Amino acid sequence: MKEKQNSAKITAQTATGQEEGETLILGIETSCDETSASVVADGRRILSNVVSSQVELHARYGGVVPEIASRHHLALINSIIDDALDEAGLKFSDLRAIAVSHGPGLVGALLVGVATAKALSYALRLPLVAVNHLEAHLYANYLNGAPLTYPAVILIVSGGHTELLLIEKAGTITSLGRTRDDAAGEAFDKVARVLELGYPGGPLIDKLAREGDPAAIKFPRSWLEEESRYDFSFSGLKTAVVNHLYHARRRDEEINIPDLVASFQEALIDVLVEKTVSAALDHQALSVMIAGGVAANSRLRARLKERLTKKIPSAPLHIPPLELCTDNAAMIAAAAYPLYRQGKFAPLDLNAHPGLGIGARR
Amino acid sequence: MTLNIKKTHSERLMPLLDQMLTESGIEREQLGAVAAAAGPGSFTGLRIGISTARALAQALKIPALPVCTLEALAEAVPTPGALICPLLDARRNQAYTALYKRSAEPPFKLETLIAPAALALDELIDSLSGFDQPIIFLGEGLQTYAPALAEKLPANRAVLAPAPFRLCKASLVALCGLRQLQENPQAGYLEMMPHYLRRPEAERLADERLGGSK
Ligand SMILES: [Zn+2]
Repeated sequence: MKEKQNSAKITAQTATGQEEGETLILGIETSCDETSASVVADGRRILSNVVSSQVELHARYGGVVPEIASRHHLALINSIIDDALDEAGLKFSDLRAIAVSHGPGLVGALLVGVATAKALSYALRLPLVAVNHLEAHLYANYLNGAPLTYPAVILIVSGGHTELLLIEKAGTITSLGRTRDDAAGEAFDKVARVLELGYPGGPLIDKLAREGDPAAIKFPRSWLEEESRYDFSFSGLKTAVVNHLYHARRRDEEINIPDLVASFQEALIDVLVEKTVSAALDHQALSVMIAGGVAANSRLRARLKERLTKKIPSAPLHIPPLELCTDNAAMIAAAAYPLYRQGKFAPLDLNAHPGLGIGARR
Repeated sequence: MTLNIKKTHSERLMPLLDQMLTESGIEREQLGAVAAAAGPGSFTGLRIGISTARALAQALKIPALPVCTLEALAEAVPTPGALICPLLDARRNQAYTALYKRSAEPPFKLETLIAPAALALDELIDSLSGFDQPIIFLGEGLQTYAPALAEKLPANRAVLAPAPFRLCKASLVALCGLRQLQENPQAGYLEMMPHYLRRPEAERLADERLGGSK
């Protein structure tokens, strides 16, 4: 079953050839709607990073359908692994370890990657390294050649996560807060669906909002109570947009879509930016990073940069290139490298953990 | 080796494979082909089995053979001329089922009379009414459907297999795989896919909303 024509393939910064003494790790990523395999040398140098996105398959549903995602991961994963080896000019026997993200994510989707990685590692007699998908996102920066200085505050925003992380020093990662309901990308998708703009909502709203007035409509900002000031909640904002539309339609008012989406986007970004900046201030961060698909949002990038420069000029903002911001297997292989060095290998009964938290190792 | 216990397939499958090879003194590199039950069955369960088999075949560079779960069940009945109807619970008041006939002549192959499908019990009984010899029912679906079968079919027509014949055994899957290998020695891992028999629910509902159009 060849289904690759359904999906765009991206290859990021491919270097060629293996250098003497390097540790080559094959990474596998199937936690949501990206099927990906990558070979990374010493956790830093990408030899190949093949990503197949299922975005178009899920477009008609306005969001990721888990069963459809799982089926396509299985249809594609092995040929993507072959492609990742081919592009790097390598054979299985050149590898030192197999790495896989085992959570968090969609359980059925994760299971395809986990079962594949376990069978490969067993058949090839290579160690298996289990990687936390969320923690792996911050390795996009190592791959980008710009290591973070600590303490670092990291905001991961995508269709699957809204998570604020703190790295106090190398190897100690903690979660400061996360969304209680929708992920930021999900909120974009839902609003786009209500307005019948298409899917995925993020890029469409980003573009439309540039023609609108972000101050046109006052939508609520959910700051939450002091004890959970780094948590997020976007479902109220989505409801406010729906209510606004409903009332405008009932009063037969003309709806200015660019103003509406610009105001929605501003409310969401205000919260993301202010919470990230105050986390950076509270923890005296020396660097700040954003990752995830929503990191591509032009308004978020600009506003975060502007606020950081003003409030805490000593902390530079790191934004990896988009192909490393979104889900990819290179970050999995990179995150596996320190675990490989410490001999932290996963057993053959490794399972998928859809709700895997930060700092949790199984 | 066949285990039927609570721990998830994901956790059990690889340790079981390892234990089986260790106990039989076989190195993984010695395997000549890998067969897996391709379904019908639970979507997630099938994907764990097929993902594992595909990756083993890919790494060991050996053929990969997707075996129909229903056919593997029917393989357990060697009687020449027998009519065999495997049943698996497909939920939503349906069974994954098929009808096979063990040929009366050598080499006593299985012949497919009703192709694998998800059928309501009444539909199944309807399509079985044309056959006038006793039918052997087996498979885990008997747990759900045995009482209804006993009620709706005359006692001289339905043979309900005892419990040991109800589970799909990996050895039967391997046997079917071996047969497939003789017919298709090049069977590759990229072609090995589950036989879901059903579309994803979301896809079905979306098509219904759009009046059956794709
Ligand atoms: Zn992610």
